[in-house]
Amino acid sequence: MEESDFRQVFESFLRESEEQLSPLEAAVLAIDEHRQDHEPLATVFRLVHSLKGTAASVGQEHIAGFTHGLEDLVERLHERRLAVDDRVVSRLFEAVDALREMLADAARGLSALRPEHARLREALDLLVGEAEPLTGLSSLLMEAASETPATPAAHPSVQDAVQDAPPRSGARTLRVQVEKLDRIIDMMGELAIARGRLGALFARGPSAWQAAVEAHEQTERLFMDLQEQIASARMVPVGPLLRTYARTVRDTARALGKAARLVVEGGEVEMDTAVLERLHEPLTHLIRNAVDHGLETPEGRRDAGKPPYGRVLIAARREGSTVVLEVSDDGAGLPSERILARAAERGLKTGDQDPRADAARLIFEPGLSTAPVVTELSGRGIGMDVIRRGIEALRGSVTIDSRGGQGTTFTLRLPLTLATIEGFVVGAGGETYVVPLEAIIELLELPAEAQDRPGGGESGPVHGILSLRGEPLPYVRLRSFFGSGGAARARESVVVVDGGGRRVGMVVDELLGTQPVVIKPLAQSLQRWLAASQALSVSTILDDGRAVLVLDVPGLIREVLEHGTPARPRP
Amino acid sequence: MKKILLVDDSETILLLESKILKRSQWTLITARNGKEAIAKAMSERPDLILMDVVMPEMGGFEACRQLRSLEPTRSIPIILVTTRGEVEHLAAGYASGCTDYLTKPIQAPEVLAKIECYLGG
Repeated sequence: MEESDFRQVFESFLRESEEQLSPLEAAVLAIDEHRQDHEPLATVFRLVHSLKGTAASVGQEHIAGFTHGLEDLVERLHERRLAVDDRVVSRLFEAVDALREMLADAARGLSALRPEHARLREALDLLVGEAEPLTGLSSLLMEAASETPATPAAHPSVQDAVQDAPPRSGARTLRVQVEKLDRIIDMMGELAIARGRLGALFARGPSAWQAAVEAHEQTERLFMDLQEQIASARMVPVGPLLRTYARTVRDTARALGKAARLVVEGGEVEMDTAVLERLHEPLTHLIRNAVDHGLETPEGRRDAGKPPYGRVLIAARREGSTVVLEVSDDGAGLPSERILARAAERGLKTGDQDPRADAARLIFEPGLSTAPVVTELSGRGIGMDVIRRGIEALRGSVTIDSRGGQGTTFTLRLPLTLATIEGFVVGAGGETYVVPLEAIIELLELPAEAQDRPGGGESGPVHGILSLRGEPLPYVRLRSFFGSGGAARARESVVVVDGGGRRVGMVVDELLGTQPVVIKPLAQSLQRWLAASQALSVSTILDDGRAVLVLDVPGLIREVLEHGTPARPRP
Repeated sequence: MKKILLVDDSETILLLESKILKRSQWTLITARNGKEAIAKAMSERPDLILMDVVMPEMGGFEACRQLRSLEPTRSIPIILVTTRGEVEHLAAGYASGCTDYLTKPIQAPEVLAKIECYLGG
């Protein structure tokens, strides 16, 4: 076989094997939770057996050997020659982790077992040695070589994960149903015909203009449909990814001497695969925090009259063009007093409002960890501020609600897709900006007292407070905030925006209306310049072809309310 | 032109097999499990089937048994592609009606030689 052919086969092996790891992990979890069941063992056997065959076929003999040992163990568990206990389950999880590392090594061209993997292989062999010997043919193999096991749907979690596990970050591939692609191709065909017709009508000159306008409208409709179809091809159900956190919950709880399980609700809700991939890290931290800081020890729970097993719930639901993910625990709730004391020590502003709300806000401040002991798991220097930034980078928001003794809920609001948003276009100081429509609460005219000083051509203050139906509303004058200057206007408008439950009025010169905008990442040079400001995130191209910046509403609100400093002036 | 049906749940193995066979004069078709293999065998009437043993939905042994019981596919040569640890089970494989077997990792010369032997080059 030629070198390029082999390379292609090898890459396919890496991709395919990596994709098998999530269902494999889900099946090991199912073994842990249903220790008497046959089905998850059969699933692990089939996945491991398949991995063994492909690894051997691409010359990865060390992986084939390792999986062979794993398969031996699974067979003995299945034949009840060895009981599924904590020790066995831990080894199985370690084996999944080791396989993940082996694949990463293989991708880097390393094809030998690391010493720790060799030791794990020996540990697996020792377990096999403890089991009573097998006699006769392998029933698992015979079963897998014959018909489907009789109870295929016993574990929906395993089944789902096997069928539609999304690739983890790094593997930039996506499985799309052929029907969806077929529909896209059909529409492309219709669009091509409509385009041809439009061209022909234009060629006929002014007499055909009316018909051309109609043909153009039809083309437009087709184009919108096509856009929708393509966007839908990127949508995947959140369940398979969310269920993989069962492992995170289990491992974190075990390491801390706690007991906890994960419950996933709304797994069928779909979202853009790109958003989902990038949620992995913030979610992992949130879940570790929930187990580490949220849940009590089994004794603590018993004293509080709760069942010893703590519960971490991830509930997904769709609200318009937003996906809401709630991560909640039934633990002790936020230690408000400790957070406020710690914040005071660090000289952070503490409001005089409800201390619970204050604590919930302060927990997102950098470096404010109140865990009595910094644990190995969540005390890795990853604070809530990093989680919040991760979510906001996805144009999402995170809020927190906590009740003493009853638990804490983090509510994540995320856009369905990163590719397009409904935008509201505004003008300020001769510049044009796009505000995500979902962040806008209302539009109003700037009251006279906050207007620019008349006649002087001088801008009003950058910041201030205006009264909105008797309530104070902090405002920021975008023209001055971004230092774009320009002459003062006789009339200014206020765009009231909400980010993470906090509101700010943005004073702008012009309201230019809504339009769907396609989000484009910023050029690198711009990114460097903008790094100083949290208020601008990405760019887009407007209908008239101009490139403009999209405001990052939560970032802007933070800059205005917490730091009060305007962004750097334009170069 | 002679037609070969490749059956495996792994896309990597299917890719590997088609790379090995690409210079041959044979037409290649694929299936991802035993059930799909039976359907393809009935509609496409391949001249030879190269099939994996452990697959979801329906494994290789069962697919072999069913192909042998169906009139149109009864005499198609079936080569089972086995994995290490399956050799002890070959008797069961032959009992299901397979013609021959190969063991993973498959080697190009061996695959080509076996196929030529059944298809006559």
